[in-house]
Amino acid sequence: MDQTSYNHLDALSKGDEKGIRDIYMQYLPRINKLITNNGGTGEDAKDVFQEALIVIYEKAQSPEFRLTSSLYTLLYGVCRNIWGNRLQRKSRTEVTLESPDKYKLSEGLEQAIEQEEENTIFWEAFERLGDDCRRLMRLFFDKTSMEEIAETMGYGSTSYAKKRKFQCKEQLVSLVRADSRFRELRP
Amino acid sequence: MTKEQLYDRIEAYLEQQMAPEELAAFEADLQVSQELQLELALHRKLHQELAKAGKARLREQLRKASAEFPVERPGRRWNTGRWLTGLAVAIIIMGAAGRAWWLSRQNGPQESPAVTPPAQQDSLYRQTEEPADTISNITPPTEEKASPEPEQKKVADAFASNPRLEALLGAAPDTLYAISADAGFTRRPDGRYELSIAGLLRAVEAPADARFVLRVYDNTAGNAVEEGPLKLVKIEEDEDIYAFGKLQRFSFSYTLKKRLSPGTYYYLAFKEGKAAPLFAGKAVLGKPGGG
Repeated sequence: MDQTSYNHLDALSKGDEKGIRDIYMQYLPRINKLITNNGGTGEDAKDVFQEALIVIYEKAQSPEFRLTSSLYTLLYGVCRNIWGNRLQRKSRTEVTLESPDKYKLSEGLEQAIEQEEENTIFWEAFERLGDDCRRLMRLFFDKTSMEEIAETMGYGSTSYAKKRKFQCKEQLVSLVRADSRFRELRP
Repeated sequence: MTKEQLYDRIEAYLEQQMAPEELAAFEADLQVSQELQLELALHRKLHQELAKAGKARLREQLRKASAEFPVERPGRRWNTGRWLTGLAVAIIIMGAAGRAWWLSRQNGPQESPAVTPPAQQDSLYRQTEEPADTISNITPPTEEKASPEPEQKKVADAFASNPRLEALLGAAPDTLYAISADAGFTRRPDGRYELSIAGLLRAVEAPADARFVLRVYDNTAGNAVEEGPLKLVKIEEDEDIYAFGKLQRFSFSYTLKKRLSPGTYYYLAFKEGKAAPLFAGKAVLGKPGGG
């Protein structure tokens, strides 16, 4: 792994703001070109780019993860795969993006991409909540006690905090179910 | 059972906080109710995924970083042949003869120095002996002389447009360079804004020592609010062989050190030493009832 790839992967893992900005600066224009040359818009490119970075972040959390190419090669391969999947869903015919061997992904990465496409539904629903609900649900998922939630959120009582938590979670569940990409999860 | 009670029950099960008899009853219900199975699966997934605090932070950071970077808008797509065609026409017209004309202008008796001192660059309206295509030329000399007041006092509304700066908006590629850029901004808790400018520079066989600066003006167009160098990062791939050489691409971004009050701002990119901007853009920060 070259030093730039190492630095960028480290920035991604640690959530380093400056490093992340540098990742956008160095790689987004090329991913933008990939997507816009294949029927997408600039917004699609940003969306795919973000999802690819999250896939790589998740994979990099695993102790077994080893970067065997440059970060850009991996990123490009993941973006191609994500965009190919999206085109496939929109199209009734087989979609093939030209695929040089160096951008071929391992089976594990392809599965991680599919998994992240499902996870995105939950995050996007969460991000669509209002500020108050988002803060409350963040505390809730961080396993903060209802007493602390009531205090942090400035609610008068624990019982109101519980009531509010239910309302927010209900909104979240409704948003997930309303998403056309969502398929009921089997236990 | 109300839905709220159902949610409480599922959460107690997921958090393993059920008493043995509650647990036995819940598991018995699960055996016979597909609806409960689906509900449990959804909540389990929600809890597993959204509990990832590091991922939540990363998503937020990516969202912010993404907002700072421009996407190429329809009609301004540099990847299309339109820009190349335009540049080709410009180069053909301004090729060898144009260069000779340019040099003669730089050496002519009425010209400003090739490198404008920073003090002269500060004001957009300063009447210097600059080349005819500099931005100061937009202001007729008589107009400025007729006004005893500084320009800043004329613009009481921080959101008002400045017609002279408006006239510069967009890209003005010269024979060697073209810039596209966009602004992204974030409101800080004190009500002021952090402004970032990011974009792309296209260059034909750019000299290695060429430097570029960004200047940001408020709508009074007085002294620059901030000026800083544009650090270029070469985009290694996709160089196109082009009329007189390779077309090279660079990306850049600049985040202002100063926090800005709400208002209308203009950002201009210059090649260092040149008075005419290669690009001018506009950012309206925190307009009440608008963007």
